[in-house]
Order: sequence, then C-alpha cells, then structure tokens
Amino acid sequence: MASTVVSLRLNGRPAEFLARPGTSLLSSLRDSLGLMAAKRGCAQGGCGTCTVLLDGRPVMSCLVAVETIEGASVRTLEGVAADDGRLDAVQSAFLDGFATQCGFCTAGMIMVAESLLAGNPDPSRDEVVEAISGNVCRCTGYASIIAAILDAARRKREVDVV
Amino acid sequence: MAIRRGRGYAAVNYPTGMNLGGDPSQALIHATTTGTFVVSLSSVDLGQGLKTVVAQCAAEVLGLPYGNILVDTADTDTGPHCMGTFASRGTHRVGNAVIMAATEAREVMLAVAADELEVDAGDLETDGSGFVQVKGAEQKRIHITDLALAAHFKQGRTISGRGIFLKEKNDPVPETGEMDPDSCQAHACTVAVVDVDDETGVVEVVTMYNAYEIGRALNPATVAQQVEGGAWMGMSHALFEATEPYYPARSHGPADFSEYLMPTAADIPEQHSAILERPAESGPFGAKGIGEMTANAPIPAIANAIYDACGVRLTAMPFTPERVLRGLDALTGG
Amino acid sequence: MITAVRIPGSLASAAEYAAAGGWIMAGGTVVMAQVNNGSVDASELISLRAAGLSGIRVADDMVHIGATTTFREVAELEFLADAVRTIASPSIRNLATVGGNLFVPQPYGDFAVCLLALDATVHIAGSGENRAAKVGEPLARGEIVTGVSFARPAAGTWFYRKAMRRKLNSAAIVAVAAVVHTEGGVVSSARIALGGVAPRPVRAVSAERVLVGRWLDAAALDEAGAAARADIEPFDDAYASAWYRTRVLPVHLRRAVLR
Repeated sequence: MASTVVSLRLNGRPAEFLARPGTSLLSSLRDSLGLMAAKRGCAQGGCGTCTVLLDGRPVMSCLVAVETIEGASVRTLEGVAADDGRLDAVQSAFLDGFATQCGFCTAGMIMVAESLLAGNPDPSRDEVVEAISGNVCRCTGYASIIAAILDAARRKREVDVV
Repeated sequence: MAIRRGRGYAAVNYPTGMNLGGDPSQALIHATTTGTFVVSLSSVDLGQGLKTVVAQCAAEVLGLPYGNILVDTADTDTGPHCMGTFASRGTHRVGNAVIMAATEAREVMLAVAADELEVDAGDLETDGSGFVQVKGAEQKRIHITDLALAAHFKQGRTISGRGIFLKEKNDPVPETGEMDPDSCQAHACTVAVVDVDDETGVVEVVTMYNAYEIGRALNPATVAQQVEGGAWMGMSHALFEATEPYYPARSHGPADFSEYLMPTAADIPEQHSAILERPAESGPFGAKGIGEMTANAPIPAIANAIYDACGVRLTAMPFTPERVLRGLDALTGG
Repeated sequence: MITAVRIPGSLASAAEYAAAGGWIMAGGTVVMAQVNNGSVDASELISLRAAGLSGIRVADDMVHIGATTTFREVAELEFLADAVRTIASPSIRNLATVGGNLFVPQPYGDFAVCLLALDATVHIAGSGENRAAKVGEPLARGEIVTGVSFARPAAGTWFYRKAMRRKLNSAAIVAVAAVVHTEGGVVSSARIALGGVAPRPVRAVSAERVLVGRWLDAAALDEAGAAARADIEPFDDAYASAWYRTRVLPVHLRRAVLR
C-alpha cells in the first residue's frame, strides 16, 4: 500500500505530494496541500462544493482519483486573485452583489463561473443556470449568484473593450 | 390536459428571541492603539451577516467608518457570553449589547479627545469619516488614530465599553395566561403564483411576492438576501424535500444530494420583495431581526396557490406530483 | 481498502488487471463515490484513462464512441446534445463516460437508454476474443467494454425526453428515447427505449406494436403509452413511486414525440 508521488501544475506552479492509493484530488488539496477553499460537502459528486478546474474544466474533485491525473493542470479558488491580492471580476461581482452567505458553495460557484466566462464571454442566463446546475446553495436561492456571474461577464467585457 | 395557474397567500407573525431562563447576550469593545475598534463576541455568524450588522451598529454609535470596526467572534471559551445564534435573536440581542458597549466606548473616546483638544466633551462631535471635531469649528479636530495613540501612550486610558442586553424570563399570569415572552414580532406575507400540470401533477412556482415588516432593515442587501434565500428554502420544503418520502414507512430515504431533492437554479421563481419598517422600541435602531421566518409563509402560500389552481387541498409536505395527481383523481372521482 | 490504482497504457494490460479481479474505473463518477463511502469490494482500481479508449469517429452515418469518451465530448454529436445535457451536471459530465453509463442501475444510466433505442452495438474485449453485444447484456469477468457504435438516425426520426423531479441534474422519473420512421405520416418502424421504469433500460415493444401502421398522433401515442405498461417493472425510490411512473408513462411518451 505504498503512496504514489503525484506531480501537478497547481495554480500555475509545480506541486508534488504523496497520495495513498484511491485518494481523491479533493483530499489531496485539503489534507496534503493546505488548500481549503474546495469543500468536502458530500464526497458523492452531488453538491459541487468541491468543484475545481482540471485542465480548465470544472470537475467534482471528490470523484477524481488523484493518481490518475499525473501532470495535469489544476486551478482552485486560491489561484484566482492576482498575486498582489487584487480580486478578479468574478470575485468582485460576488462581493458587490452580496452573492454569498455562509460561503460553503462559493468556491465551487466561482470556479464554475471562471471556466464558463473563459469560454463564453457573453453567456445567457440559461447558460449560467446550466453551468451551476451541479452546485447546491442552501442560503441564497441562487438569484444573486446568477446575477453576479452575469455582472462579472459584463465587467470582463468592459475591460477587454478598453 | 392543461397547465393550471393559481395564486395563494399566507402571512406569518414571528417573535424575536426566546424565553427559557432569560435571554441575554454580552459584548465588549476596545480600541487598538491605532483606532480600530474590536467588538468581542461569542456570537456566531453562520453567514446570516451578524458580524456585518454588529459592525454597522458599532460604527453608527461610535461615529466612525465601518472599516474601523473589527468583529471578533473567535472563542466561546474566552469571549463575553452569548446564548447563541437561534430564535432569530442575533441582531436584536447582540445588536443592543453592542450599542450599549459602543455608547460607553464613545464617551471615553470623546473624553480623551476633549483632553487632547482642550475643550469640553460636550462640544465635540464625530464627522463619520474618522475625525472627532469641535461643533461649529471643524478645523479643530483630531483623527481617531492620533486619538487612540494619545489614549494609550499619553493619557494612559483604555477606550473601551461593556454591553449586555437581557430579556428577562417571563412567566405567564396564572389566572389569565397573559405573558410577554418575546421582545417584538416581525410580520410577513407571501403571495405565490404556481402552475400545475394536470397530467403530471408537477407544480412549478412561477413568482413569489414577499412583504416583510421587520422594524428596521439595518442592512437592506442582506435583508433582501435572507428573504429570497428563505423563500427558496420554503419552496424546497413545500415541493421537494423529504427524509421519508413514503412516510410513515422509512424506505427509500434519500442517501445523498442526488436523492435529497432541492430545487436547482433552474427551478427558481421570479421574486419581488418589499421591506417595510415600523421600528420596534426594544430593537437596535428599531430592528426586529429577520431570521427563520423567511421560510415560513411561502409554504402555505404555495399550498393555497395549488388549491386555487386545481382544487386540490394538500396538507402533507412535500406537495409531490403524485399527491397532486391523487388529489385530482379524488376530485374527479377517478 | 484500496491498495493500488493501476493506470494501464493499453487495453491488453487493462484486461489482464481486470481478469485478476481489479475494479474497472473510467470517469470515476460512480467508483470514486463508492470508494469515498467505503463500499468498493475490490482492493485494486483499474483506471482506463490511458488505455486508448476515448474518441468519437463518424464514418458515413456510423458513429463509434470509445468507452472512455466523456459526455462533454458526446454532446458534440448534435442530435444527442439535448439528451446528454439531462445527464447529471456539467462538472459530472466532464468526467463521466459512455462506458460507465452502461452499468449504472436505473433510474440513472440515461445514455444506455439512448443506446438501446439506437440499437447500438457494444464492443467488448477480454482475455478471449473481442465480441459484439447489445445494450443490457452482461459481461464475463475480465471483459471490458471498449466502445459503442450505432447508425446516426435520419433527421426528424430521433426523439428524447426525460421527465425529472427538477429541471436539471436529476434522475429519470420516465425517460423516453425513440427512433421512429414515418412514411407519409404513417409509422413504418419504431424502436422505443424507456428509462426510470425498470431496473435496466427496456424496449417498449408493446408500444412499438401499437404504433406501426398508425398515424403518429396523440391518440396513437396515448394508446401506445398505455400498452407500454406491459413492458415495465417499475420501482419505488426517493424520486417517485412505481404507481406514479406507471401513471405518467403515456404522457411522457406522447410529449417525447409530439414535443
């Protein structure tokens, strides 16, 4: 039952860590790498609080056997803000739009939004809704989150035009 | 085969706080050497925004910017006592305790400023941006940072305050049953509009209108969030959630979030909310609080809307498509 | 307790591990959930990620989908996009595979329902010879599904509808997948598969018999839907009861075809 050394490109930097057989990416992030933004809500893929970007696409990190993604690129919420701490458009829109209460779903929601807006700069409301359909929020009733993501898209488009 | 639309409403009165052995909370405030005011509490912010409104109350009383307040809810072992965050009591009890503590701290703050500026404390006011200044002579002023430094290193004073709010235990009058167990009551009404598919029994909530009278909306944005999020939860209870879907049988109880049904972002209604304010005498700046009540009225409003839409009166939650269909069958004798 | 995760670089190597008792894992959306709650019997997992089984090939009107192709990729086949988007959520579809979907019990496994309606061939490799089977046939120990293939249905002949308790990301109450050919409005052939109404996807042969030779209209579909009740073995679960599924089956069959 030896552990495997796993290497990933994590938030833009190389990361190397040990993983016992069958360890999920979520467990590696939280328990080995100190990255606590992704949450352990159900470990069944049903809540989305563990969502991170794997090679740019949102996945349930609790369902990824970390040994099988050797060499992949992983992005978590901790890698979203600029190095100097400046929040990006999605983060700012969530804050300004009060699109968070307990915060448990927030990391997953933001990662989904980052991926959505990277590929689709002008999403419709329906596209936003489908994108977050795997992310459970118990507090907000979703409307403020949808509004924040659409607002973030608008902010990003304005920056690009300038 | 038809989609039948219906409208229903329900109203709720919701008490603030609880009775039990009395309902107190405490707060302590102290200034750091550079003019940040730390509010120490044992109260918990679960995401409902207690730290935000507490900071607002402290800032308002102290006359300082919101950014000068730091709310510390770190440790129930060491913090000033709080009964807890439940019974929709947080804003009311803790807010009042913080106002009391901030009032005392403000007095000390003005006394320190009075000594620095060599004026009477009664001649001083705060400008809201961080300065304590002489009324009518604003150029004679001192910034809170300099004031705090002076207190600590020159005058040897602590700029701090203590607060407690206690709603005393209230026993009923034996002869009449009269009692006063809560400090105030907030009121709400929800109107729900639903569509019922009479071939499948599926109920869709199209719109919800919410009106809430809550004394004072200390933070209108978080209040709006609470109303909407609570309405979602009410709709979720009304139409989806069950731990025993075949109650009283315990079979097929959901084992994960796939099976434990809660509406997704694709299932939400349009919501329109109105906030009304009739300040409560006992509340912090008149606030009554807005907590658990937001999940209540939507549920019977939806039940009434279903009845209006198709004549089916449901009294057991969740109002599943099966229950609606069986109700329709009973109406048509089918 | 998992003692090793194998990541074989070839199908042959994967088959060897499978023959030795390893637990096949494609996207991980089912297996890792089981690992997380401690309900996997085997001690070795065999990831098919590197075994060369992913990809979609279309030649003339034959479509071949590799077993480890994710649903995100399958959605690029336009006629299947709507059906694929009813499967779980995007973050699951970025991982979940066509092969894995063949083996989840109803009311999950919507793509298996589609494949049954499409009369898909399931390609299987093992320690013996490769073979072809139909949807729903069991595998022998050590066998691995390598892909599926089917003829792309002609425009206007493919129908799909999945009734769910919520609008997205929810299991089938009743799923209907169908390839129906008409000539001058009269049904010449029908192949209808149902999900959510039996432990495995089922062919609604009774409904097909009603429809052939009839106008494709509401009356025929209602009659076909009622007849289809003979083809199902409905169950109760946390989503809906057998009673309810039986009751609404004809409604959803009609709505699948008439939209």
